[in-house]
Amino acid sequence: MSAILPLDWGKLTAERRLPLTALALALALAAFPLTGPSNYLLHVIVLVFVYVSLGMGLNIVVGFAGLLDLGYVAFYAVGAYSYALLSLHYQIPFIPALLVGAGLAALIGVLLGWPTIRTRGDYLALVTLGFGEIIRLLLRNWDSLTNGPRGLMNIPSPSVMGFTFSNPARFYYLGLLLGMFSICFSWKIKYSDVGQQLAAIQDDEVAAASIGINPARWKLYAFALGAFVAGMSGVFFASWQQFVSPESFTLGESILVLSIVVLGGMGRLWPTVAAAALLVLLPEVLRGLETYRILVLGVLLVVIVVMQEKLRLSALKKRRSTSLRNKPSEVAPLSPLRTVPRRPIGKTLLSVSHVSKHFGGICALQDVSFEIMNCEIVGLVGANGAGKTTLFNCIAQTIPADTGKIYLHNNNGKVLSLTGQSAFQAARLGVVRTFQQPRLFHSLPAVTNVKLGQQCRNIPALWEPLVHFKYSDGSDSSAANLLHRFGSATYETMVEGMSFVDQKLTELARAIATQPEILLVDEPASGMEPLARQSLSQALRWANETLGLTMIVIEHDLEFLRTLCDRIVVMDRGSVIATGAPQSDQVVRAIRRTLENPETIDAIA
Amino acid sequence: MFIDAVVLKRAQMIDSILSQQLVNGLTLGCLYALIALGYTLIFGVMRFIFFAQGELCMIGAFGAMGAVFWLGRHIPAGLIGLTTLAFLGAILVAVLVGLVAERLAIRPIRQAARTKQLIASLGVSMILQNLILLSVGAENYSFPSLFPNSAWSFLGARVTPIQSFVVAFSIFLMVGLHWILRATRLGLHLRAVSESAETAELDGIDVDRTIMMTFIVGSVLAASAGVMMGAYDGVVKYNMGFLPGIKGFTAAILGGFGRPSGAMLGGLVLGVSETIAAGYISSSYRDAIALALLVFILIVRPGGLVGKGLSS
Amino acid sequence: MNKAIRVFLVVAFAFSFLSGCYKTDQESSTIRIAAIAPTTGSQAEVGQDLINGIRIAVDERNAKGGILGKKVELVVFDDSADPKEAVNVAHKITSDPSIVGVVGHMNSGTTKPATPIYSQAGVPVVMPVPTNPEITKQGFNNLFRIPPTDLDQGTDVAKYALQQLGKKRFAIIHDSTAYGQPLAEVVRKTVQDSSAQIVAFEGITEGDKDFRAVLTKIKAANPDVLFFGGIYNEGGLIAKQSRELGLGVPFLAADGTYSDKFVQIAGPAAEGAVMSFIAPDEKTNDMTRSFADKFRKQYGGIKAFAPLGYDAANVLMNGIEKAGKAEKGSIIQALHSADFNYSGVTGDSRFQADGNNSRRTVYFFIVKGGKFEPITTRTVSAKAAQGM
Repeated sequence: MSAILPLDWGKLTAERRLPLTALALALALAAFPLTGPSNYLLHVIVLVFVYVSLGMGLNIVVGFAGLLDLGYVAFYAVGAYSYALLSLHYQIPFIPALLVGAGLAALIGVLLGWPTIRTRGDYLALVTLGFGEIIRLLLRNWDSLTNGPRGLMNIPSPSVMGFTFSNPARFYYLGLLLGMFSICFSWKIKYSDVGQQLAAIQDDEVAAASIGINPARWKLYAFALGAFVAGMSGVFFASWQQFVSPESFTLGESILVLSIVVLGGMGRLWPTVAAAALLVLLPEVLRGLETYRILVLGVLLVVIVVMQEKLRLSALKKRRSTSLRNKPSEVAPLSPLRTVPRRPIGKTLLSVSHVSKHFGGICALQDVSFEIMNCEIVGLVGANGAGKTTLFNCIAQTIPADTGKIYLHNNNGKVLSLTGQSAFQAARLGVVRTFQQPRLFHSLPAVTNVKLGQQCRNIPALWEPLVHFKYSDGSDSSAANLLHRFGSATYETMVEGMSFVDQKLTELARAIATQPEILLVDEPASGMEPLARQSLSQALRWANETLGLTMIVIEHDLEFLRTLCDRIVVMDRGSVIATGAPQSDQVVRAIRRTLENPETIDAIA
Repeated sequence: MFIDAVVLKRAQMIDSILSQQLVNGLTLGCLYALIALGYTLIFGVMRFIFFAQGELCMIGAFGAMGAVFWLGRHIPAGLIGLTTLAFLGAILVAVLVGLVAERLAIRPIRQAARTKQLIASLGVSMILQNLILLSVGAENYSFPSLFPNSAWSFLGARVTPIQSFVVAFSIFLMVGLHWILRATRLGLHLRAVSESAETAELDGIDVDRTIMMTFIVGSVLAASAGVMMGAYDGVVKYNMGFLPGIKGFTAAILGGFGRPSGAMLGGLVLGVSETIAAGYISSSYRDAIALALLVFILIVRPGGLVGKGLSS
Repeated sequence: MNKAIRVFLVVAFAFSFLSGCYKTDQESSTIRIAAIAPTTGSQAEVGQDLINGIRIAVDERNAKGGILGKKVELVVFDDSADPKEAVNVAHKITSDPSIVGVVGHMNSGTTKPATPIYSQAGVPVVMPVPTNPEITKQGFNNLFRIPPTDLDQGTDVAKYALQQLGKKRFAIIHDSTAYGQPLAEVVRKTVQDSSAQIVAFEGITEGDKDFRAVLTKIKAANPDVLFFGGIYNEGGLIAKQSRELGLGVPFLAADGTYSDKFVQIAGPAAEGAVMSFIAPDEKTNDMTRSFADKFRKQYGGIKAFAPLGYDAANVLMNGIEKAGKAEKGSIIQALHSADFNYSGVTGDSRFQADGNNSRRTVYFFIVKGGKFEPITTRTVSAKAAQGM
């Protein structure tokens, strides 16, 4: 659940206007060579541009997608050596070679990323580290291709349509172009629908999957983009230095670029640029500091991580003590709804048959079977530990069941098996759930959370960041309306400032925004006062009546369920013991029986 | 008849090469096993991959050098005395550094995201390497010769005293560790905390202290590995711990992370396969092969060759 | 918009500040020459030794009044034996117009990629140590080499083993660098051209410490001599570990392995190792003896390349004097002129058109009692050199 560092969308509105600042900076930098600096100084600034570009690229991987990549330099090397070999052996001109080099790097990124993205964070770091070193060793030992440790010399300077970039000033402008491109590229990714999806995944991958976001796809996308930028930088580097050797692509380089990203706040844009400039310029300007550079970096890495953790822990403590649970909800009572005739309860929508789930030695679900009809509102009751949430987990494929089958019958009469699907696939098929403890995306405002729900089946295209010109967080659209219906007063509120109840309501709005076939609501009324409960009941009724939404609701408040639900399912210790109308005999008796279970008494009380 | 003789001689030669490579690989494997054990123990108690384990080896090796050169000059001691001095020096310095690292860089981030823990370990690794680099330089320093150069034959291979010592001492350490884990109170606490830190705390076990003791044990293992690496290779250098650290981690994963017996097995498997690959396939690609194994295992079978190993 | 303007001003100010730091002197009161060697990294000891040799030459010259009435200023650069660093340093040097000549680098692997940069800027480079022949095959006119190339060294070492030692089964190991690998290949070719056999040709990686796997493989091939092309760090370990494994054949190497460090690292296994080197033993004649004494007083014993540094620096300074002005093009012309001749502690230096020294002598040493003792030399005269 913990992101590397929240992207802080609410606060960085200045960053949204990046193009203007970037333009001003570009103009200032473009004027620089006219002041007659030495070739050496130009050389150093171009080095800054290269590291800015690398930093921006890795920022997409580490900062936007939360993937710790310790072998980033491998893609840099692929770009550099591709250009070197293509231009030396086949005289391929700059632009095509650039595309091939960057493209090859991206391709290798996809090939490497595909099996590894799914691994745990720290394992991914080691896989990438291993891969980076393997690339370096290949470059070093594959003599016939790469000339081994001797490297490739006399790489031609880039020439575009007859214009050759052969002197330091011209390279400066080309480097400036590279740096600016990488900054604008990153910015476009970050402030796009794709960027929002990445932020959601980084904040809470489980919640993202529960509304249909495919974490693996976007992580791989970010990984490949990062590789592309590195490849591009590599091509530039080779054409500028006119010499490549395996020693330019060591683990130390990967760590240097990682340090740039960490220092730059992981996910932020301008601070990363500044960090790159600092790390390159400082050792040059202050002689004698060069030898201490790695040591200082190591200390900085440790200090930054420790400080961030201390801040996080103290913020957590503050949050707990402020007891947002008791914060009065800002829910305004809804205007009374027109009475809309209830839709008739239809055929079977969801069938659960013989589902079981064990955790180690504990049996959480034992041969559970039942059916849910279209447009029904079904209440699910039972003591704590009866298996209610586990049942939700299994239906929504958050956790796979051990045995049994779950089927969804959709409008066209097709029967879809949910067994074996992953959580996001289940969500896209129409099975969406909320969580007992609200799992919202902390770095996005409330209304954007809902907007992401809306995009459950409207998946942004891969090229969306390129063609997306107006940034939208959803506050101007139907997402905002939906959010209002469920009570959250302010759309742009960030999650930290919301009460527990508001968070639950926002999560509910988000789930409904996905237009599910069936909604699994987990304890929506917990922590709510009677007035709020009434509003919630009305809102759920509205969803059922107006949208035809079928629901299963877990609750401990039997009154709440009696007025809301058509049917009640009672569970006890992993099995369904009764099902029927809320006031029916068997249900009442079953509930009384669970009351004899000492755990229930605490729950109902 | 002649052909038979040639074939026999060939077979004998191949036999002796193979057995020699096995001896080489076994020695290397014991060193990797010790490093892998350190990773496994620390991971077991705190779910933390202490990336700088290799650097602790390096610190141990330099500690041994320091002890032998500074103290060994004043204390008249034979080879055995010098060897003991070397180990004591190594262990002392490595434990000190390990405890400092634990207190400053690891304890504060015990509950942080795993990726952040890795970044911090990386930082510690960089700090340790560069402190040594800045104080003694980047040269290869000759490790004092503590073992005679004679050798004896064993199944067609030449086994040198240093090789025998490495294998014997490593086995001794592993047996000792096994005893600590099974028969002492510390071992009990260690296993309890590895299972579940919360439960252990409820049972009255001082988790912080157990973690500290684990670090000490891990540092002792690393230091011993470092001294033996220095003696076996003959040289020490500021970055000598980096690659063995990664290989030790690979070994730990191979054997199923979180299980000491797995770490030992993984170390031996890695040492032997690396040596065979270097001898029969290509010496230049030897590290690449070990790294490829790491990548492969992490992707395909992060639970290790044998069993489940670690659960996330 | 405000922010954009602020950014503009900050950046403009920062740059003007930075460029101020790098204003180069219009007129220099000294003659500046650069010396480059690895003063950090795993070859730092030997690199520093080279720099010290250069420094003694400069100090000596300044004590005699400098060149053309000005003092000589030595600017030292470190390339860490890393080709990437070397390229950086070359860029640094060539953008400083006050530096009129370069003595360096030390490794062939670092010199080679740097040479095009020096050539483009027209800076004269006198190479004290690099032996890779390809450096002078690039068609640059500003390079001058003091020692013989590995074509000579490698051939001579091979011939020594073939003729003097009568070896027939060669095992060759190289360190895959721009120095070790080509050198090993020259040895291989020379052996192949004779009646002897190559039973093994293996590459190792610089920085590796355990060579037992590859040595075991070599042992099985039954060689009667082992040649190593590479640096003393790996050379020492290979000698040591080959003895441990029972590979008791003579150990042969070249200038990169020649160093006290080799003896230190190899221990008793160093005894009897034969090495070629590109400078004579210090006891050879009066000149070498007095240089060695002078060096010892200031810096301790000579490690390896100091005499070559001394000669290279003197060659450059003589070139400047002959040119009559501290101008790069004239210096190059002066060094190329037919009557330029310098007699130094490593021998004569007279340069051919491609920059190689027309006098090429390879010296042989054997390790006896932990020290390097000279055994023989092979000199190629100018006439025979034309054929190469």
